[in-house]
Amino acid sequence: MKKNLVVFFCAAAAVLAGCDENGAPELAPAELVSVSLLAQDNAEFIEEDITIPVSKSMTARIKGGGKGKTMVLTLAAGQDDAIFVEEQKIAGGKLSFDASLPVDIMVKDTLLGLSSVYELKVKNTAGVQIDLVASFAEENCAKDMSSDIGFAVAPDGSAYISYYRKATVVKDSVSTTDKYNSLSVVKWDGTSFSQVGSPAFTDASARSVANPISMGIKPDGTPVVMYKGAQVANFISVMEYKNGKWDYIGTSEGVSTKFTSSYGAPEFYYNPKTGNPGFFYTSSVGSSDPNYRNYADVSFNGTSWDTSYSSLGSDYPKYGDLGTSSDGIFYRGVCCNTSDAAYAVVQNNLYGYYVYKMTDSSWERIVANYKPAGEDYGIPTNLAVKAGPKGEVYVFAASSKAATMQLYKVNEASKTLDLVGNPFACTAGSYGSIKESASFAVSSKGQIVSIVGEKFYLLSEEGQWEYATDIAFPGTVESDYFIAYTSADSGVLAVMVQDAAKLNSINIYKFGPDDLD
Amino acid sequence: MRKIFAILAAASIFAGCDDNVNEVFSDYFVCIKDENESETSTIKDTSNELVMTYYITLVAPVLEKDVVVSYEIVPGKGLKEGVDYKPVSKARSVTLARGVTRMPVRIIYLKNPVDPEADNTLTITLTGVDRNGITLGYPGPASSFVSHTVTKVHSE
Repeated sequence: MKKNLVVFFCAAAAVLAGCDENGAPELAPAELVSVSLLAQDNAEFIEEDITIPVSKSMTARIKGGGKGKTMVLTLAAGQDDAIFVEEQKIAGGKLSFDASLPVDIMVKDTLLGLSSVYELKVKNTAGVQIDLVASFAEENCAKDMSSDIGFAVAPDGSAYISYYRKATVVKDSVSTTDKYNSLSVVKWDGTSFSQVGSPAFTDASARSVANPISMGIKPDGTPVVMYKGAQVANFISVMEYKNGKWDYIGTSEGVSTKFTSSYGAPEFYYNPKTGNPGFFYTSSVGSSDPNYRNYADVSFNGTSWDTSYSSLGSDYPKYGDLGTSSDGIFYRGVCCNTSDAAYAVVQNNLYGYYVYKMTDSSWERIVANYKPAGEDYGIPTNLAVKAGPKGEVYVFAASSKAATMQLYKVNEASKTLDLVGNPFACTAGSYGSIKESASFAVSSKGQIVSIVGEKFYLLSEEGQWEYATDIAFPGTVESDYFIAYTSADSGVLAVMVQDAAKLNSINIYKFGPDDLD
Repeated sequence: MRKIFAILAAASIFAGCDDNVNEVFSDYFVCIKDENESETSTIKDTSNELVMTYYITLVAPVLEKDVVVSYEIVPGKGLKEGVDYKPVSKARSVTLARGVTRMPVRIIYLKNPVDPEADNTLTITLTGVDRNGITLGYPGPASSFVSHTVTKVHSE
C-alpha cells in the first residue's frame, strides 16, 4: 500500500511538477542549474569560459589542474533555491574557492526545506603532445600515391604502411607514368622509413592494385598485406614478407570472389590456435539479385584458403529476411586478436551489431543484433574493434540516428555492448554514415585515445572523453586516421596527406598522453 | 493544491534514493564507504597531497529534520596526523540536510615512508547519530560499513 502511494505521488509529480501555472517547465527542488568557470573571473588560469555539465559529481579540467589556485566559480540554482558552501550562503552567484580541494555545493529549496549536494573537482586537462616526426613519398610517386593506406604495428614497435602507387618518370623531357597501380610497403622504425621488399612488388602488368588495402602482423611477427586487384581483377590477394621478399600466402590466384569494396577494408584476424590469417569481406555469391550482399569468411588453413558463407551460424541475418529490398546486406567485418582469441564485429543493413569470438577455430556469438536505444546504425563508417591490455575488447561504432561515434566495451557476461564515455557528436552523412574520420587506440596501460574529425581525445579516469588538442596536418588528410600504441606504449599516428600541389605523402606523428593529475 | 502535490511528490522522489537498499533493509541506517563503495582501501606512502573522499550515506526516506552523524578518525601506531595524513575538516560530524543522502569526509594523504611492520591503518568510524531509529552501519550483527579502514602501504 505504502509503495503504491509512493508510486502514485511520483506519477502525480511527473505530471504536475513538470509545469508551472503558465505551463512552463519547472525545475526539481534544490537544483543547481549551471556551473561555470568564466575566463573574465579566472583570467590567470583559463582563456575561455568553461561550462561544467551539472551532475552530483562534477569535474572541471584546466591546464595544470586546480592545485594551489584560488578560482571563482559562477553558479545558478533554481527558483526559490539558495546556494551554500561550508554553511555560507553564496551571494551573487559567485564563489571564490581553493581549487586544490573538492568543493561541496549545497543547494537548499527555501520553500520545501529540502537540499541537494553537488561536488566539484578541478583537475588537470588531458595533456597530449602530438608531433609530426616524418613524412614519406616514394620516389617519383608523390603524384600518384593512394589515399588509402594499410597500417599495422609490429611487436618491435615498427609501423608498417602499405599503399598503392604509380611512378611518373621524366626522361629527355618526356614524362611517362606507369599504366597500372602497384603495391609498396614501407616501415617506420621510429627513426626513419625503409622500403619493405622492393617497391611496387605486385605484378601490375595486367590489373591495377586498388583499394581497399590492409596490413597486418601475424602472431609470429610476419607482415602480411591484403589488396584488391593486380593478378586477378577485383579479387583479394594476400602476401606475406618472409626472407626478404613478398610471397603469396597459398595462391597467386586471389583468395576471394569478386569483392565489393564500398564499405571499408577487410581486416585480418588470426586463428588463435594456428596463427593463420583470415578476414571477412562482402560477397555477392549466392544470389543473382544485384542488391544481394553476404559475408564471406576467408581463412588460410596452412595450405590453401577456405571460404565460408555460414561460419557465423544459421541464425545470422540473411538478405531480405525483414522483407525490404536492402535489409540484411552485409556491410563489413572488423577484427582483432587478444592473446588467446580472435574477435569479429560484423554488421548488416537494418540490423544492430554482432560480435563473435574464436578460441578454437570456430566462431561463437557473443553479442547479437545489439542496438543500444533501439537505433539503426546505417553504414558502419569508422567501425573498429581493438583489444585492451587485459583481454577486454572495445568497439568504436557510429549511431546514424544520433549522428554520433561511440565507444563500447564488449560485455561477454551480459552479451551487450556497454557504452564507454560520452558519445562524440558528428555530422550525419548519406545512408546513415558519419562524415568525420574517427579511430581509436588502447595502450598497454589501458589508456584509450581517439581521433575524431582532426581532434585528439583522451578517455579520462572519470570515463569521459576529454578534448586534448587539434592536430595540425600539413594538408588534406586523404586516408583514415591510423593510430596505435607500440609495445613500449609510444603512440603512433599515420595518415596520407595531400598538399596544395596535390602531392601525397605518408605522415607519421608521435603522441604521448600526459598524466591527468 | 498544486504546491501540496509538489511537496508530496518531492518527498516521494527523494524517498526513491537508495531504493535498492531499502528493498533489502527496512531499518534506517548510515554507512561509510569510499568512492569505490568499499569498506577498505590502500594508499601508497609515496602519494603526495592526495585527497581521498569517503562518503557517509543515510539510507532512509526524507525525514522531518536534518541528521547529524558523528565519526572519529583513528590512526594505527604507524601513522601520525600532520605527517602521514591530515583531515580536511576539523569537524568530526557531518550534517545530512533534509533531502541529502550523503556527505563527504575528506583526508589528504602526505608523502611519508611507512614502516611496513607497523600498524599503518587509518580507520574512520561512525560513532553516533543525533536521533533514535537510525542504525550505524548496515543492519544486522556484522554492522558492515560502520567504518572504513585505509592502509598506507610502503612503495618503492
